[in-house]
Amino acid sequence: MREMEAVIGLEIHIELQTGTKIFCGCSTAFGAAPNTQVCPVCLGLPGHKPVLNQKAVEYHTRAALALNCEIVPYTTFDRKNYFYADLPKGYQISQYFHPMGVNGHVDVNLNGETRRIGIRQIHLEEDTGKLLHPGEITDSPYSLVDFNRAGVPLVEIVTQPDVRNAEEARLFLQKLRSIIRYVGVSDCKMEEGSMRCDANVSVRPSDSVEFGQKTELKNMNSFRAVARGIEYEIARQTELVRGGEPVVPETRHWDEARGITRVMRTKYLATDYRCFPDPNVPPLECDPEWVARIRQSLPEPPDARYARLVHDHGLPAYDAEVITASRAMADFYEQTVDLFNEPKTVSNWLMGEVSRCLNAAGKELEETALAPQQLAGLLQLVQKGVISGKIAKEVFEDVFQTGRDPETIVKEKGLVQIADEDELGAVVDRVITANPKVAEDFRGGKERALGFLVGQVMKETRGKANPQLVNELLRQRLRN
Amino acid sequence: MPNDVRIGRLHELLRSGETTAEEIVAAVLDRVTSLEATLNTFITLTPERALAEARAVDQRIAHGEEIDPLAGIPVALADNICTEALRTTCASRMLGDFIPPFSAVVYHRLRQAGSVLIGKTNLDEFGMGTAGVPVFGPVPNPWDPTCLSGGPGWAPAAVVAVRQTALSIASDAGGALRRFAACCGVVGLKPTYGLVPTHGLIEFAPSLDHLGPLTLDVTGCALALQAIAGADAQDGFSTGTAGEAYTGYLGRGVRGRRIGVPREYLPPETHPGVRKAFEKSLDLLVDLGAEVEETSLPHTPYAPAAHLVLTSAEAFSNLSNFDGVRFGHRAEARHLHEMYRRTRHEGFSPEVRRRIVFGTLVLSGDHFEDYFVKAQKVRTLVRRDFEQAFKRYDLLAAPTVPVPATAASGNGGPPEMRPEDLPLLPANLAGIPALSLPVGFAGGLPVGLQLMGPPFGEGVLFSAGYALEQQTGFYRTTPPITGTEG
Amino acid sequence: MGDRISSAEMARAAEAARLEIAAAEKEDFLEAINGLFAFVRRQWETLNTEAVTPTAYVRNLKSVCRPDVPRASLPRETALANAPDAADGCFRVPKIIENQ
Ligand SMILES: [Mg+2]
Ligand SMILES: [Zn+2]
Repeated sequence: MREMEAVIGLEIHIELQTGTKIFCGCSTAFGAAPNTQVCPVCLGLPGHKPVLNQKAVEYHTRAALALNCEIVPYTTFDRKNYFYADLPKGYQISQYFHPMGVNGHVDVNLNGETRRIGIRQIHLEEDTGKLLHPGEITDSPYSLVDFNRAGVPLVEIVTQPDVRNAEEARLFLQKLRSIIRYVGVSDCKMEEGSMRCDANVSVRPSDSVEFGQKTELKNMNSFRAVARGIEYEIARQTELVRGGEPVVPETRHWDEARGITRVMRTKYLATDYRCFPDPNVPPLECDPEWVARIRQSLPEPPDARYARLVHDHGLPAYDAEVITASRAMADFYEQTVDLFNEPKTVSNWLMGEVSRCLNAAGKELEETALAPQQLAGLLQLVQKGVISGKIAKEVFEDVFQTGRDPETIVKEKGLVQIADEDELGAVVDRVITANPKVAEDFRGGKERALGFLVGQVMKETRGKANPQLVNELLRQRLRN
Repeated sequence: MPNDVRIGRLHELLRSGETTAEEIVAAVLDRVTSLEATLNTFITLTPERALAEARAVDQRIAHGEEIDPLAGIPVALADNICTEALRTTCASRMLGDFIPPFSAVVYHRLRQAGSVLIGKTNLDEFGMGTAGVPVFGPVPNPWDPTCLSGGPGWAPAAVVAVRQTALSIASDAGGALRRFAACCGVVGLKPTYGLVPTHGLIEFAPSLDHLGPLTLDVTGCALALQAIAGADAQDGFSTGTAGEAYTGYLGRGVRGRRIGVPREYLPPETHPGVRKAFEKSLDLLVDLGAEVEETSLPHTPYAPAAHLVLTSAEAFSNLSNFDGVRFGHRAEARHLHEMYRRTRHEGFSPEVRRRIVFGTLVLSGDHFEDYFVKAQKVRTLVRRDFEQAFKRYDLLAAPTVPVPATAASGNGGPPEMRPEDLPLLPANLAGIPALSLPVGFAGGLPVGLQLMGPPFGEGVLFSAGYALEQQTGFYRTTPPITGTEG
Repeated sequence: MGDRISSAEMARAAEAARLEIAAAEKEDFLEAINGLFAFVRRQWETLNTEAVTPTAYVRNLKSVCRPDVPRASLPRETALANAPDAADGCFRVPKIIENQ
């Protein structure tokens, strides 16, 4: 049997985090009551005129540059004409004829190997409204339309058919999300729909250069769903082709609950959008100097940062990858290291305590009040022996919850480490007296018995004892 | 009832206290009442509101406030211009009782200036200039009430001709405003594309649609333009500075002005009476010191087809928001798809649907290059013709419509196919300003002279129009239907 | 360029524009639309535009933008006031089912 391979192209829509919509002054905030963020423009009422949001253009340019695209000097906003209940004007305004960014790429790390996924184009367009219906769309006697989302600026990113499997698709999306978040133009939340991915999937014998018949995959609402959907579709198509059956070119829905893809029949898909330049929106001419300024204002891309953290900071590859996956985390890391120059310690804390608290709170780093000064301050307290590492975790929990300064917390709670030999010596003596059997075991050569005694001292001092000193004192006393 | 509703004169009477805004508004409302049964010019009237607004202006005058030239001046808006909280129909079943939640920039500016809205005028469905059965009935020509060849389209000009208002605002996507100004014997201006923001105009072809004033005289036209011109932040294609003093051009005359007469604008169908009135006005211009010369705009014959293709394509897209979801008519249907089709079948007249289907076809894959793109190229050629001509001439002159109103061919097709519309369409394609003013009669019906200028050349048009008007005094002539009192 | 529009082609276009053409008006529509095509072809018969750049916008305006500053949205009652059918603060549309 011939080996089969999959050919996958992705189309990603990402909502830009501007304050207002692309062609009107309505808010783009997520989660408002239905139809409370609408106006004649985004409702497509007769007589309305769209006026382009400068920030949407700027954000789009940032995204295009971050994806290594060339910026096209002249673009138009074109009407893509079709009818659907969530589309207010009967057309979507999009950069159809001259997408603003072309020929970009994203590098993905797959099992230690770098795979380059080409970006065919990135263009700016407007989002549609949202359909709500009781039950399944086709069973529901009616649908409700909320136009709050209509007109939110979107970038559409179209890859070359360079992706070969589901895992690659997932890694690409995660990398893309990281890059877009780096340049600060979107939060890319798949679960809130601010990042959405469709996939064009086909299979062919791996020695073939022709493309197989493709299907379009929709409704994958998480990274996991994208991977599962593509995997399912590859398997389905492979089976069809092997069985000598044709692949029908169609749009298929990923059914998360049943774990299958299904033919989607709700949209009256237009085959010809009859596009032409929107006579209401003047064309866009990108001033090269302006583009250069945007380019200069971009942060260091995650790949370069990763390399720097490995080479200059001496971080292990794994640490560098985790830290640079989010710009907020990487920024936080670097700012902390500026104040407390022990990269690996800082990295350990970020990947350990900080991540644990974030997960527990269900928050992103940038959504908390936590500041690098606080973490650095805490680590300095440990370094100076003011508190123990164990106490530090307790203090951090408090800092994370309340946003208060670690030193204040330590003082207020009386958590300063007991490093006074006399004070600690008294406790050590009490513990030895209270545990004669264990003390005997240690003297008899049972090294592990010491751990128990250290634990008892810590318990008595409520963790405040300097562990090194406790160790020293115990050994000294038990030698005698 | 005063027949002399020139804006400038009314303003003087208001300032001197010889009359009040309330008296002016009451008088035009009387004229509305007495003629509405015959003329059917209005779809919606706002008499109480108008009187209240007029009294407010009178109070400002009584307090010694300096008032704007348009304060207290009665105005009518074509019913495809959005007026907040006031029904706007586009004379289409499709819009039914649509109440816009916002006002057009042009109406907002007129209100700011203190003018008083009398009502919304009848028009061809969506201002498309199509034949067929008008939803709100036809409007007869005020000069010959047996003549219905304008459909309801000339209502915005008729209301000025019969003194139901002093100012009227209408759209011009294919010459309608100028055509009806000429046929009704009033002054009408299609300004430079974008000079008057079209935000709030329910357009069918945004790249060709314009808004402009209709008045009794050229001075009134300049005063009106002064109030409504200039870029607005809500309209991306609007241009020009607001408040430019166009009246400053009025007395400048035409001495030394070079005027070209494009021969393509005088087709063989030109009515002898129209030709005579036109030539007489050229003689007058020469007497006043202008140089007149025949010229050629060679791509003119290709303009109607380009106009037809482009307006239809834009109409297909621009009228897609009429889908029965958010506003307007909705038909009973079992599901969404059927709802779209029924709604749009019931809401649009056959003429509108035909234009939309044609527009859909010229944008389709197979025809896109041959029709839509080619029309865009013809547009380039037409525009270039004008650019060339304006290197040589300050102005171009032609009869606005080569035949009088009664001779208009009502062939049922789109206006682009009527030979008499040929001289109207190029100015829309090129976005240049064009002024029509009455210069005489042919067979008892008014004849219009069309003056065209380079982009933002409105001032030169006003200079020439005003100079001519001083000679003809046409504004003193009233249609017989108006009566002779006043 | 040159062929007549077929009845099927017209039907496809009408469908794309979500327009119904009643059986009784089909003939007239087809005649009228082919009349428009013939009119355009006749007028352009001798015109060569190969070297001409198309004009999409008549004014030479570029990059007209507004700042990213919020403006008040419509009150929901106003937004829904013209709706032929509304429920739960939304526009209501009939059942969405598969094509035909
Ligand atoms: Mg898209
Ligand atoms: Zn809006």
